[in-house]
Amino acid sequence: MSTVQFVTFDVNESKYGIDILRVREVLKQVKCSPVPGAHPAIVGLMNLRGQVVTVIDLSQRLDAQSMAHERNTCLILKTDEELERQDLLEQVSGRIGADPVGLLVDDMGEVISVDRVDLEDPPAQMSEQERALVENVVMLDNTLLTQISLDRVLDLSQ
Amino acid sequence: MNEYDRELLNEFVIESSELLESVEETLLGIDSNNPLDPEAINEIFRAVHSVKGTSGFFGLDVIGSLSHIMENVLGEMREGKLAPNPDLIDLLLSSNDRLRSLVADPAASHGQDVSASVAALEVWMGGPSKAAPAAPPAAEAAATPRAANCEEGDFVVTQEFVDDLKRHGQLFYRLDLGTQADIRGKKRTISKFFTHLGAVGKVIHCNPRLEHLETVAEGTDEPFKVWLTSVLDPVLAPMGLALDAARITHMPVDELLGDKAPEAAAEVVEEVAPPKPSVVPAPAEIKRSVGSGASDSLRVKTSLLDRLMQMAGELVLARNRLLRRLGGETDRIDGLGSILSELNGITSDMQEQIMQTRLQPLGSIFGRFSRVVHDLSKKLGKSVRLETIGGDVELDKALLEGLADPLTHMVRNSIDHGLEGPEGREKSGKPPQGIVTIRAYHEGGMVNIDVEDDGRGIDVEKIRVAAIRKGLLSSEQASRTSDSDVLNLIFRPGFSTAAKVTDVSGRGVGMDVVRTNIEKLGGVVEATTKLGEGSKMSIKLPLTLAIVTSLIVEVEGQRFALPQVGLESVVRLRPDEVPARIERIRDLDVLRYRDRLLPIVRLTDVLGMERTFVDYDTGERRVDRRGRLSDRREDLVESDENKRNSGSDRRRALTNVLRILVLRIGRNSYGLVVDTIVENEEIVVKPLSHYLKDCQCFSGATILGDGTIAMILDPVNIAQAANLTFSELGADGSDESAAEKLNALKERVPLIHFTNGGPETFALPLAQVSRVENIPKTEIQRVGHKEYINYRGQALPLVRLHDHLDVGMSMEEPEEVKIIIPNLGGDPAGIVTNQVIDAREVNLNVDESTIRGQGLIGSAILDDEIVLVVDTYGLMESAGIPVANPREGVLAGRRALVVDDTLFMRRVTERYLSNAGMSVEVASNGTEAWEMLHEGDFDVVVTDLRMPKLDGAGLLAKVRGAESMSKLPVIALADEGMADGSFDAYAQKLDRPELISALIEVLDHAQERAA
Repeated sequence: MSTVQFVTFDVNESKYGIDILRVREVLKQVKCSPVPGAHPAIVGLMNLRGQVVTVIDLSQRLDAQSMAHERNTCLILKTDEELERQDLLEQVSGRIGADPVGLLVDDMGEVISVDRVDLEDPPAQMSEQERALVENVVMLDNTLLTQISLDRVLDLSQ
Repeated sequence: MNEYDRELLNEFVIESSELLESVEETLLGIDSNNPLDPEAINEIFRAVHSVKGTSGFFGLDVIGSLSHIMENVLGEMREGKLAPNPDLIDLLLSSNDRLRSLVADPAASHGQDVSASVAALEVWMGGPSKAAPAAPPAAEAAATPRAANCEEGDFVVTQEFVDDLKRHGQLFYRLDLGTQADIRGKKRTISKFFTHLGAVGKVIHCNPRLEHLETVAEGTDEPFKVWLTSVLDPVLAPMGLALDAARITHMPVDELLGDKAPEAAAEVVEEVAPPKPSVVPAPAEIKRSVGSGASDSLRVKTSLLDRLMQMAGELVLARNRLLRRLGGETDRIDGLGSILSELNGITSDMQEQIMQTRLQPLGSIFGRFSRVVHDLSKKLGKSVRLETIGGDVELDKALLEGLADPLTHMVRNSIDHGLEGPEGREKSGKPPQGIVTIRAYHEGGMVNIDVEDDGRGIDVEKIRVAAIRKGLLSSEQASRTSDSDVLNLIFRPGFSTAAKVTDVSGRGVGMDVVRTNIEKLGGVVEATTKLGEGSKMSIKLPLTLAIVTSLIVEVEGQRFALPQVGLESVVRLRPDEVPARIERIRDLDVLRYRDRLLPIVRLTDVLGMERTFVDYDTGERRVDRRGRLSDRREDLVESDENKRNSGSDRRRALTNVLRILVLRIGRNSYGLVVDTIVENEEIVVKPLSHYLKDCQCFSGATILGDGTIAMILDPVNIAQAANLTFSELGADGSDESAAEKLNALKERVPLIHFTNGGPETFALPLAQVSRVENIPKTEIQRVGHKEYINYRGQALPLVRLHDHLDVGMSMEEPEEVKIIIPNLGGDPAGIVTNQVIDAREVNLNVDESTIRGQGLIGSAILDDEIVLVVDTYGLMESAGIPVANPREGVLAGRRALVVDDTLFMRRVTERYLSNAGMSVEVASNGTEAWEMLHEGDFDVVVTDLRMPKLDGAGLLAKVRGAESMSKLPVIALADEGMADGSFDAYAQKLDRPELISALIEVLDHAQERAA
């Protein structure tokens, strides 16, 4: 396959994307129950039709200094198991395990198709820390789209 | 109706429902054109008969009359007089349905009209049956079975007969015997047997008759029945009659009343077995195996299972505790490791097995699908066969109940939409009979249930088109979306592709309801299909779904679930009760609870949540910055002050009631303070995701009834997070409650309280006193400045307090003085006192700053009076009396760390050691000591056992665990009986000689080891 489709979204005023195959659904106005004592990036747990989904604030992961603001758009990711069932696991990069998880982002963008050859390594001027969370970057017309590395963003021990 | 009757009636409902369910199964079996199995007919005949009999017992006439006519029809079928045909089976099925609904609510059955059903069945009987349908069941009972079962020699039970039995306290028994099995096989003759029966009771009737029995050939086992009256108690009857208990049926005399023939009464007793009035209803009762699929089992009350579950949970807690405590000891104790791992395994197994008692086979709900298939196939003119596989796969009872509806809907859907009609099937070359398969199996730790049909399949393209039309997908999206995603749109609300709405499955509820229900149970559902070949709905349910009764509590607006296991009670304190019930001991808030003192913590503090309160003046919610319950700054006196304040505290007054959950961990308990107690709820435990693995205070999460998520609290880890220490028991296993340990933490010291005649009173720890002697004044002898008495053949120097301490003296000495002989090793001297006031145990709180001097440790308050606590050692020193152990020299210059949580003990011990020339540092608990050990270089540690934070045993474990300190000797200051051998040496508190010799011993020993 020569193209990959990204679901794009804004976090901390930058544009990010993840492979559309990873996204199960996008929810607005999500309500979370906080978990006292959890990692600061964990907003809480959400009841998604009877399933308990851990909701992670992406902006906090990308920049620990970021001030919490009223975000409530949530991308629910497909777990590895779900992708496996649909025979799609081989087509996506990164493994996130079997626990259902959602990412809180600022604003949803559109779905865009990118030619795989246009994917580039993260630029050298990015800090080591940032680079660790980035899979690829793509130059769009006049903005940089960063494809985040889900397995590293979701590894909270880092 | 009294409680007992209600219980009986309840059992009737349960039992009858089961019996009638088996009737349906069997009737459906006849339906499939199986050759008629007479045994099966007989079984349902007896089931209906049994329901009828018991309904008579309760006077449930309507149930009686319907079951009566059903029984008659079944009887005809059994005897081959009536051939089963589909119409008759349908009629019986619908009558059975009616009967089931009546039985489900017996109280409401009275007003019901069943005459239509009765009349319809009577048609098959060729007109009204002999007994009038509406006649009381008791009368019918007399009419029918007698004719069926008693071929000869019947007899009638009269009122007189019954009264007579009652008057003489006799019981009525039926014996079911065999001539060979019970008599000749046991080397008895028929006549001798009857002679024996006559000796213990009176034979009322025998069937067949005795004369006939005697003609039965040796070796042939002819069954016969004997009715017998006897004064023998049912328990004793088998012994008295020398018969197997199974042969004997006790027929309560009262049930013989009414015109019931003994045979009919016997049937009732045999099949329904209502608990006899003299016996407490047993929690478990043998369930008869009825119909196919049912297995031998016991009926056990759910409450009993719940209790077992709870206890298993407690056992697991206790095991965990034991493993933690002993895990490090496996190297030291031979065989401990294998015992622990065995205990571990058994406990887990047991918990699992008990969990499994809630499991029920799926087969128990499969039955109802046969009915669905039967009804629907008829209605739709489709020929359908239902296949069920995996009926023995088990699921939690609650899951099973929740699964019944969605599964029914899926089966309906398969038949209605999935399967083609006969012509359709023929065209596609399929056999005319469609097959719906329900298959249950385990896979990957989940229970899978598939509902599959071999019908036309689902056209994904049609769904794609419909989805676009309904606006669920844009046409661009639709082309991108995979077939399987499109197919699963059928679970979206309002999505139906059925060409027309049928009254079968198009009832406005669709597959979305199925999905919602399955997801409520924590499962997922998915559809797969192959066009033209069939479709399959797959449900996946978690196998380990555990349902736990929990208390839902709230703090700071957030809800938490606390499993009932481990919850001892809930204590509610009104503000005015708080001062009396809560007190502060060192750094712990404790609750007075049933003569115990329990440490308490706030859930907000443990979880690090900000506490808020509503400001009385402004009504605003503000952060509560007052001291936490674990605040260490306040001492006893201050906290007393605090308590008094809090009673009238406006904030507290607003919160009103303090709610404390008393939680149990093994043998210890503690209190957890919450804001609100919401309710009890059965919750489904969902494991925490790996993202939350660091949140030790929670054991899982759950979705509450209102859809919000609550974390499940883990009492053990909360206690750990709150740093609660329950001082551990010594290895002697002495049984001390947490409260006793807490009391011990307050360091109650036995003191001897005395005066020397001056204004002051004095105290000396009893442990420092070896004896008190009454000596007449005249026996005191003077040698120069010094006084002596002749004591046990030796001159014992005397010390007067006013000579060495800055205290007043007696103006007038009594005729007889008390000489306190301190325990300083040998008998070096005696202290002269005028009077010993008393000896008692007090909570010593030594104030060292106010009154201090050579020979004094400090002062304490006893009965609102200041007493001076004497330092014996310092006193002797200032009196110039040598008390040193001759070998004390080896201690000089050695460095010791003294660890004790009470100031008093620290000071005394410190002084003992420094007087022996040691250099001493002190620490007030194990944690502090552990830090100091890393900073300084010590030769020996002397530690108290009971301390907050880290106790003596804990400190020892750390020291032993550290390579650099493995040779550091540790001496325990223990009360008597606490020496368990784990420390290098023990010394009693305040006992200088013992401590000094212990020090000499371990330090010498250490030197030897080093050498």
